Amino acid sequence: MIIYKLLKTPLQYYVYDRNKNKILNISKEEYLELDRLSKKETTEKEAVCLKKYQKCGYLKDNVVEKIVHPETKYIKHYLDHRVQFLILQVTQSCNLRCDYCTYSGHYTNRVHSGKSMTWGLAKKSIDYLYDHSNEIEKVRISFYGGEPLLRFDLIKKCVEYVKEIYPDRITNYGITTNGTLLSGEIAEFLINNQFSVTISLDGSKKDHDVNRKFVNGEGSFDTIINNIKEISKHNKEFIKNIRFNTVLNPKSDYGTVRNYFSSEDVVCDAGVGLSLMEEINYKGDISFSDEFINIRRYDYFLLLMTMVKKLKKEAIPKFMSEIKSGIDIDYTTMEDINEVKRTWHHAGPCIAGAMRMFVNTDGVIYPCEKAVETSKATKIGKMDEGTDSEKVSKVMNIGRLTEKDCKNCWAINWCSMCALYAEKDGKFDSATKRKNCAKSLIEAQEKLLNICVLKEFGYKFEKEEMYV
Amino acid sequence: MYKLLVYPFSRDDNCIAKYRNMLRGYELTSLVCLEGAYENSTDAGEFDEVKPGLIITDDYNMEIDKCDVVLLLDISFDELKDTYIKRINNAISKNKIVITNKKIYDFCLKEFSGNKNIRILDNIQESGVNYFTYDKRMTQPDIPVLTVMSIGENCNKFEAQLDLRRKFQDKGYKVLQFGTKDYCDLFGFKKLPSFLMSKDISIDKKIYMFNYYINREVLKDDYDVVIIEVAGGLLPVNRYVTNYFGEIPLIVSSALNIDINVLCSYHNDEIKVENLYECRNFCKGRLGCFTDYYYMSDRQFRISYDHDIEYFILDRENCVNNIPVINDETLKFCHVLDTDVKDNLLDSLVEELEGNVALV
Repeated sequence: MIIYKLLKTPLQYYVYDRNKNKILNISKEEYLELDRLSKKETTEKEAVCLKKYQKCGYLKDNVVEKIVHPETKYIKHYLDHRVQFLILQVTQSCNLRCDYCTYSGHYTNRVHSGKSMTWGLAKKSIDYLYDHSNEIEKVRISFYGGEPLLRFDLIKKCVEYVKEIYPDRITNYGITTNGTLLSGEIAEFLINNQFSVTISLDGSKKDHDVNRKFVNGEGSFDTIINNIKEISKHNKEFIKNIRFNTVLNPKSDYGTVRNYFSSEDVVCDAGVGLSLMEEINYKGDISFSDEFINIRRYDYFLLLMTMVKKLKKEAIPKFMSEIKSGIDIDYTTMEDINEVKRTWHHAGPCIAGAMRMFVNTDGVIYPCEKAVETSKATKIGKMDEGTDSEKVSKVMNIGRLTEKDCKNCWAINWCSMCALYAEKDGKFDSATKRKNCAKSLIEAQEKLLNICVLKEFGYKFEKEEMYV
Repeated sequence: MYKLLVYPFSRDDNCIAKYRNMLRGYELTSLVCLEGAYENSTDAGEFDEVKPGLIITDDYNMEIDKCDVVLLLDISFDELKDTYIKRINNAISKNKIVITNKKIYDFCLKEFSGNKNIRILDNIQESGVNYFTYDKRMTQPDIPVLTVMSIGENCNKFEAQLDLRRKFQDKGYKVLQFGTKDYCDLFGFKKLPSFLMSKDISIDKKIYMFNYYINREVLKDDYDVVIIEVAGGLLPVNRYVTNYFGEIPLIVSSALNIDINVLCSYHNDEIKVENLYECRNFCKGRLGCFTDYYYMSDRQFRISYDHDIEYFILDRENCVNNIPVINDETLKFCHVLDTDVKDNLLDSLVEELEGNVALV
């Protein structure tokens, strides 16, 4: 069986060959012939165009026999020697009650609690990181909550401990905070220790305060901005270490959020990352207004127009540069992966517990901060016992749930699903995974179509930035 | 015999401990790792399951009193300059000799105003050599030329070198040898001349210079064989990690006719004899020398998301249980951790040279 995906733009016809991970520009007749083949209206023997492409090594029989993550046999090595990123949940408490927060009660998996990490657990986790990262030159420790600055005392103690016990290990620090507790003293500490600071800010006062409120219902915007302004008066460096994270949710006015970050003096020098409100385990329905979608699509259209030089570069709207980089990366990844192997796994899963290791306030280890804390399936260890390689193997080999589908899926190299998309009620569930497959397939198809259309319009995928 | 402290010691340089009996003029007394390093308090033999020997420690202040000489290695020097300065100051204040590579030595020249206790590893300076006295004529030494090459960097080439050195010396041969590690001199051989890595000399000039250099060194004593460890890898890994496009193997193989090439490869438990024949043909086509000896490493690499190359040193047990078996009449294959097969390979190699016809 040959695994391929046919693509069509208004001008041209294409086939994506999974074995080679390449898109071929084909004629309309070839497209129709391959379409008939995919519908089993003709046979491989009868499909004349196959010979031409097979002679060049394309459109050959499926080579994937088994769905196994290629790094499976080295999991233990990763866990023993290559843990690179520790995320400590220093508290589950938060001084805000954001409507869309995963702890807000609107999600099935998490609720706010007063739980806090003990110094003993934090110390043990730090020791674990350094004991299991001898092949990593630079490790990273990040502090997460709830609101982590509620435990500034613990964060300080952790950093001081690292400096004292592991002075020669190169360590980068990070923190994700709501910014309401940032004081001059805290800012100075974060700067002195080269923290990269992510502050959640959803745009203008109106956009931000609609969701991000204190426990008493008051908006948090003014507090955050005043804190930043106050710190910037004394310390110009601070803003350079900040990145804002903006969560787009159904209540967001995309246009005003975008304009705020482009025009407001206090924040326009900092980087901004956009994320959409988390859908997994949300109890309700997340749907964005037509206006929101239209403005965003128009921005995307402007981006594509600048990429094909129909508009000047300056027209790239705020927030769209990252999307451009994503398209360039998609193309280079396609150039770099030239084949699939006999044992293969779909893209998506990371080396859980090594690339990231999230330790919650109870000392349970999860693959990352997005993992479902009430789920047994995504629990990959306990700090007392360390990360369990068997459990990591299950998390990484999530494709085995849908082995038959994955073996014959054209999008195996473009899949974006990790274990989080296959979890339901504490277990990995093939039906849940299959449900999410549909979305992943649409995304993959869009990526391939983007590449085709951009090529048609003469886009060079970063080459011009490099050579012209 | 000088007492030697190695700092900062890491698993990457474990060959210093493993082959410490081969150190010439030095007795290895202390292995000091970076503070808080994973290696702290472990036995240096643990990684190779050899009998317990030196315990690695991060207590530099205690160990410094036991040694005469500090071998200062270059590990994250740019990021850890302050730590290095502290350690060097400590050594100097106790009148110890510090030996190090050119990069750190040059830094010390400024920082410590040319303190005489800080010395560059001897043959790095290549003092007194005027490489521009060569004439444009290629000459082949009268002794066999052996090279140790590798697919890429970090392939246990240095260990292969030391194994070869020991085998030839045990059989009574006098070996002229060139390696790529800064501390080759401690084992009694020379570091490859730095002009090979120069950015300002053309490849053809480097070929003439290397030919001249080797021939001149061969004539300095009554050597039986010359062994050259060829820096870098044979070929690019991908378009981001290019291994300098295999420049140095090309220079060395153009400068000299290679009698035997040993090729070090990364650990791959699925390798087949056909893959080795591909390598053999590649070496013949690109370098003009057949490669019949293969030395598999216990290391692997991965390319990171940022396109950097990252190296793994696989756990001994994992490797030992997955050593591929290659049975072929022409090709000899061994794994760095398989002592018996390795010894057989080295014996075959020496026998091949001994069985050569003698030309006058």
